[in-house]
Amino acid sequence: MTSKQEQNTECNLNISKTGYRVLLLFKLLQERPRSRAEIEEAFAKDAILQKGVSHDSITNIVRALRKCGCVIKRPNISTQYKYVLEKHPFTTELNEKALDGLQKLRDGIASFGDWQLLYKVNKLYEVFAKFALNPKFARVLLRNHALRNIDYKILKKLVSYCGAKQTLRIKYISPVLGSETLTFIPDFVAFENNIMYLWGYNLRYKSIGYLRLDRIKRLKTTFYVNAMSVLDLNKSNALKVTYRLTGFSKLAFEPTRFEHVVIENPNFIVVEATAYNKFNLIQRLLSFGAECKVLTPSQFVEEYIMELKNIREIYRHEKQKNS
Amino acid sequence: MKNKKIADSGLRILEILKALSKSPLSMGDMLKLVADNEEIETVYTRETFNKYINTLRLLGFEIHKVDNKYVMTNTINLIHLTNENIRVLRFLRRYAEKVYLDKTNTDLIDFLDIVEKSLDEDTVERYAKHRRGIRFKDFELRIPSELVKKFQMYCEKNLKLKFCVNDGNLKIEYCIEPRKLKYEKEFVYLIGYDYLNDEFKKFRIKDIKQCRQLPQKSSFVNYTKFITYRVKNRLAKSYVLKENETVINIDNSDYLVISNTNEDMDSLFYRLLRYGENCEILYPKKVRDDFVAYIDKILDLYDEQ
Repeated sequence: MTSKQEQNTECNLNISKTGYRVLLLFKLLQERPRSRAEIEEAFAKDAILQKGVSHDSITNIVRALRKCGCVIKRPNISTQYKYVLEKHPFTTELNEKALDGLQKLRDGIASFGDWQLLYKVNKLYEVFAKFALNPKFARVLLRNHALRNIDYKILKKLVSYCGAKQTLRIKYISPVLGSETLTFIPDFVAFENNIMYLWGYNLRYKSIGYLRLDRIKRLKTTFYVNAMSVLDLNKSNALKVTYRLTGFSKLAFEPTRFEHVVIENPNFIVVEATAYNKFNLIQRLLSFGAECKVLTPSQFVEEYIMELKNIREIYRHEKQKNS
Repeated sequence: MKNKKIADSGLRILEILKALSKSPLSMGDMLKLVADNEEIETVYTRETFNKYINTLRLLGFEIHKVDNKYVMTNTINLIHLTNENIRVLRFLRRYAEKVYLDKTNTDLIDFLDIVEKSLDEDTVERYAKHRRGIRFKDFELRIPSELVKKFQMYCEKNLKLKFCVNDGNLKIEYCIEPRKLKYEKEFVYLIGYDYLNDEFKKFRIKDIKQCRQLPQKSSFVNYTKFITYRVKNRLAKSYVLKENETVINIDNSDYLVISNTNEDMDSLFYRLLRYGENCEILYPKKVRDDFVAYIDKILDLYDEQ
């Protein structure tokens, strides 16, 4: 008996006994699922009631709780013959506007590209979901984020393998070829444009490349004698590209781990990038639009110009077809 | 006949508890609450409600009378947080108040208050110790808060804006119907409809100069601008839709036709350029032509070669 209850039993209690029974059962079920026998025992031991409760009374109380919005599973084989309180309405509900605010906060945090921080925020949002009585809102908190399709067990393993430069056999669902098994030497995990990638050396295609983490379905370690040297050799042979950025791209520029600024000027910056993966670098340069000019090497500049002309050609081709 | 009996007074107490967990109640509110409930047919006295409050208090619900209203100060859902959860919660709070700065979303701040009030005893102790939260250097802001507030107010007032933005040595004047603020990294952007050029634009608020509110109301309320493009090959198979996009046509093996609404034109062009030959703008024709002109502008940079 708590001291509060002791004080109240001493004086003449001005309470509703029925209400007390209902609240007591709610509290008991909130602690853990209970069988009828356990409920009867708890009622009998209660300092205020000091007597058991009939089966019918338990049914009536449960009915009142359900009517008020509690979701209570009935005792059966699947619940081990216990009443299970799954949800109750006695909480401040997360409303749509607060949910919208939380999502905006999370999007803002995701834009920094720190997946570890985003992962931690998601863990806290799992707790927040308890306040979402509307299942749609709970789903938004639990699912609407950039890491939603990531298998955290795989991610954790990959992070540890990256440090060790371990060779892996990866079951990968390629968008073009479907399911394939790749031998891959992982280098690092990156989070760009709200997508997680695993970078490393792909032994099948004999090049440094990246895999989308949500498409990695299984992995196991394998032995490849030159894992470290293959990765390092390919990295040291990679092409160096310089490009100039102006305008807002210059102001908002954040170097990737393959880039560093070599010249800084009030009007522009010159960046040197190591092209471990040419396709990826061309994509990045294109995304700066007319605020970027590729400077060297000339062969890469030609390739870049050709890429732009090829894009333009799609529209010209269509024009000719129409005319 | 099936027994449909219900513990009525229990139900009344539960209804009061439900209402109290959301907001404070006066005795009159409680009377109204049970009287409005069709399931409950009896007439009640104030004495009955005192009894109900006593019952709730006896079972540990902390109910106090403040300014003639009953206020429940503890919550039923006690939550337990790990130390890492606590550090993230501190950080979120700071981010919400100092960075995000959307003071109009009081519901968000209220919600974080409720979370803090719902911590279990053990968490409360640790919460007091971890005062700082996660520190993340990038969040040490480059956002001038007064400016953010000003633009937030512009968005709420729904009046047209006229301002200048420097583009190199050029000063470009814009007339915009402000829509909302967007937070990306350490920058805050104003998203608005450029009604003279019929396109949505995104401006870093720090770059906006000589801004003044015009007396005309914005008219965009239901305005939506659609741009349709096709992505194909590998990209079609792995394309992740953005929040302002819908798929309007699918060919399983070859392409997706996507409808994009109200995205800032510059950002859209940068993104579509990144997709290279795997993307083609279909409609409207003006945007298609503008895109080709933009590619020509990039190619002009290499003319001397």
